[in-house]
Amino acid sequence: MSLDAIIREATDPVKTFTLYRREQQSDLETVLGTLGVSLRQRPLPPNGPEPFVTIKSGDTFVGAISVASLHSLLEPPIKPPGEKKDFSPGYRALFDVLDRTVYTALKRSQLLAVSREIEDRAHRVGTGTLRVGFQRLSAYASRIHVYRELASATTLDIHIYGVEDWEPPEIPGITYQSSAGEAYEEYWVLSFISGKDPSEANGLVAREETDGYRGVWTDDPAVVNEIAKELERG
Amino acid sequence: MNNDINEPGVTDGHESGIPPDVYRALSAQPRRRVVAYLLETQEATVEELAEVLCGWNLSDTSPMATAKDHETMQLRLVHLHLPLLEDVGLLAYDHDNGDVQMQALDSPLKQVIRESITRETEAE
Repeated sequence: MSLDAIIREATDPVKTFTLYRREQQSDLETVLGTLGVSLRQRPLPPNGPEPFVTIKSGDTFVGAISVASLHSLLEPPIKPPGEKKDFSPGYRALFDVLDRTVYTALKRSQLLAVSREIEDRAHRVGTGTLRVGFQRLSAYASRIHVYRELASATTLDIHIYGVEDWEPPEIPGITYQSSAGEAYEEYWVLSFISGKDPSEANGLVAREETDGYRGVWTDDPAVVNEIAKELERG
Repeated sequence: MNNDINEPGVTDGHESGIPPDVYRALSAQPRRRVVAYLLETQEATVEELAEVLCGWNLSDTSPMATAKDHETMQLRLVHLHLPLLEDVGLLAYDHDNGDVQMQALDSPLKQVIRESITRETEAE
């Protein structure tokens, strides 16, 4: 599946979050805004219930959750997939939506934050395959200290993709795929699949558009595998 | 939780001359909540009202409502609560497209509804 197809599949149907609140909940707006999720707001009566959020996938209601619970779910670090299995089916439904939520009009800073999160996770796990598309290798130049450390401190198999506008140094454990890089020049893409447990996976794929990036950040192993397979195919 | 059981939530209203049929229509918690919500928004869809009632029922011990909860709530609204509220003229309900509109209420009645919501919240 092409990277475009992966983004398209995750885009449909669109997820809608509605915040029901008595007064302005700017903190939640900030949290969901960081994730690139758009939020509708509806007023609750004064002295009405505590604020809550409802989530719809297309026209289908997925769930309602109190803002307090949603905050604790979204607090970083985002819970690894293993811990999520302990939640009830209702929470699973919510996670499935959050895991596959499409982020539109993402800013560069937001993509950087997500990328750091995936790099950090790969570092903590220490084994597995990390694939990273940098658009151009000159962008990788500014992160080379991080990847040098990743390669020396872990047994990760690291693949870097990017258009060759800069010649990177040889580092054991890191493979450069500059010819494939041209195919992915428009994409910001990372995939990490744990060597300990292949169901533990994280991926980000976003395409540059006029108003920012549009893409998906997921820990659904099936989607991450699709991203990794596409990058591997080159 | 079964919120359909009639309960003495609007006693002040009964004393302040609210017609008995309106009083009866407002004697169940979900219907008071529907009217209180519509006082804020003036209009809503049945689907949205079901979302509001599901969200209003959330608590520390039950912090998540599922698709099944929403479906059950929507059925109760369509078959029980909305027809009752419509019959006494508190709202207009379009059975075809599911749109619900608040009707003009006099101030004492609005006050009774708001107070009942406040009392309910304080009691929790």
